[in-house]
Amino acid sequence: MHDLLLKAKPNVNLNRVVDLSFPDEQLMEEGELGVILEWLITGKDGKIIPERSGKKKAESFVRQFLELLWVAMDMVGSQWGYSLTNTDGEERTVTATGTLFTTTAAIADTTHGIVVGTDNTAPTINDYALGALIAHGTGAGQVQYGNVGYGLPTATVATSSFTIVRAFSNVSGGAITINEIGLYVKCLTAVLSPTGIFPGYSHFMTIRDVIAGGISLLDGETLTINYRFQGAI
Amino acid sequence: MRTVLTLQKGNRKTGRWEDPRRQLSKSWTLGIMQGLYCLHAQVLSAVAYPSTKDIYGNARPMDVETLIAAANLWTTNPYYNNRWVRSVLQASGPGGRGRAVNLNSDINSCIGSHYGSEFPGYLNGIVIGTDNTPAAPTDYFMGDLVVEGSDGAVAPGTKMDSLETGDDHYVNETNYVCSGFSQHWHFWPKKAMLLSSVDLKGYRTNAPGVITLNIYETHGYNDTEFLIATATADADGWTTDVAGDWYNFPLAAPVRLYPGIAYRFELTGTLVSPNCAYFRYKRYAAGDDAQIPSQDVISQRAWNHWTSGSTYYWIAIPMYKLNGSATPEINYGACGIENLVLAATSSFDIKRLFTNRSGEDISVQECGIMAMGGKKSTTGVGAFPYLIARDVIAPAITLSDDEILAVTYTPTITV
Repeated sequence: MHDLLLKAKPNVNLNRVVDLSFPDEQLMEEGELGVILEWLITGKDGKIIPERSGKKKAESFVRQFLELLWVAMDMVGSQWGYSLTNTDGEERTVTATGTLFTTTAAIADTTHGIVVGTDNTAPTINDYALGALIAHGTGAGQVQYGNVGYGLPTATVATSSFTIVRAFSNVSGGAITINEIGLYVKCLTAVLSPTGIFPGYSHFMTIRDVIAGGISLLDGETLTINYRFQGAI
Repeated sequence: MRTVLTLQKGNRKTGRWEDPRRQLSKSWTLGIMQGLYCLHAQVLSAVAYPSTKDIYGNARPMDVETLIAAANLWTTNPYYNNRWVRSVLQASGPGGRGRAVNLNSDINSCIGSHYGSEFPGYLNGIVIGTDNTPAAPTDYFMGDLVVEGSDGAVAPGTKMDSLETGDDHYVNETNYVCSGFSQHWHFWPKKAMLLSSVDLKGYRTNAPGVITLNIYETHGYNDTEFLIATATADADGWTTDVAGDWYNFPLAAPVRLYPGIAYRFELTGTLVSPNCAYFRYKRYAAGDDAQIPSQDVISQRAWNHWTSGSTYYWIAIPMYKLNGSATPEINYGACGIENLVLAATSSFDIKRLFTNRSGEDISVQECGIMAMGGKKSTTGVGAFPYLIARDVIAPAITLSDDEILAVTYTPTITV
């Protein structure tokens, strides 16, 4: 599925342009480093449904992205660390000396990687989690989370990019409307306990996007989402 | 994320600063995508990302895996014993001749240039140059870096560095090039230079023919190295006097050498004994304090050496002259990652001061950011600088002697 999204070039014969297969398409402005959000719906018959797929410039790096970038660039060490808010709303201390920005979630893991939710509250820079995360599963209101895949870094004459991709399948028996999409990252954190400081993992949201009108995912359909980081010169 | 680039000139004697010039940075390069990719995808050493380019444009594997000693698992106590450090986007390089260290340790606590886990601090963080070629996503280095230092320009053909006396070693069977033997030595330049030729002191037996001098960039022991320059000399006309004489190896194309980077020089050829070329060396003082661990010999990347017992080898350095030229240098301050602002518009600063003490004007026409990359090796961490941003500065900023340039990148996000 991941390869499909990265390589597929669906026929476009409707008024919405869906060309999810072109990592070199420039949506960022000159000098901008941002993320392109692409979503692709595949029907029960395995065919792409272009008229319900889409693309937009993700507009919502939230503060944790900048904080973690600061940690990475400053090589914040374990002697002092840096505290920021995790997806549970708790302060956790991270350093650049351990796992940082990791999105390699496996199937069914909703703690990191691309995640989806139902809340449509407009994003703010202080958001630290989706408004209403959709759980993994086959029950009502749930979707099945695939593992997270990647498109390798690439460059054109004007852009450079890499892609994070994840598929979500709806076998809940009913339709689900996805209103928000986010990126959760896993970091090594220091955890205080009565016996000392010990490492653990914590998760932080770096991107949150709300889709106007939502993405309706019918029973039996699969939603594949690309977060494509892009820099433009 | 937009990034504001602020350039402000001052004078270190008067203490006065001119009004800052602000412009939008235009040029995040492929390098930052590679760094972010390695972090997000948790790239491990077994499948390291292969295509990050170093300052010579050579591909270097990068991963985010760290060494963990079995006896000191971080899960037991991470704040003692081993650090599980992996620098991937670090841009907070030290100033002057400080070293940027990709701090990591294995069971032997190996840290240092010997294991390739460090490189010059001026190559980590903001850098400046004099080239105005438009930026491209695939840029891997400044067009023409202004290197750390306080010296002015040096004219072409100048002897930049040399060792010309003290070739008092005892001539034996291991200082020749022939019958599969080659000569190697590491060289760390004290000063940046555009190297155009190398003079070496040698002699011959019979008709050895052409000798090849290869120069490799390397970042230390057990790290991948790359050929960056080649020169040849026909030794058939050399003296047969064992006292030797100086002979010139002109490079096919001049190459820039940077202080703090390790280079390996190799003399080789297809000679067969008794048609041999010999080179004169200075052997350093006998005794254990002048010896090096034997593994350097295995890697064939150490100073040239003479066997002394089964464990240690003598250090010797060939007689050499490096000929080339240089451009004016500038003093690099430490690169600060500072002023984190968390508000509706959030940002932080990446800032570095450059002080011109070269006695000459420097026309600054480009600036950029070098991050620290690395890869896990079997015995240590290979660290290297790679470019993540490059901007052309137009119009150019002329920095006279005693003037200071403050360069600040301010990544900014808003929702």
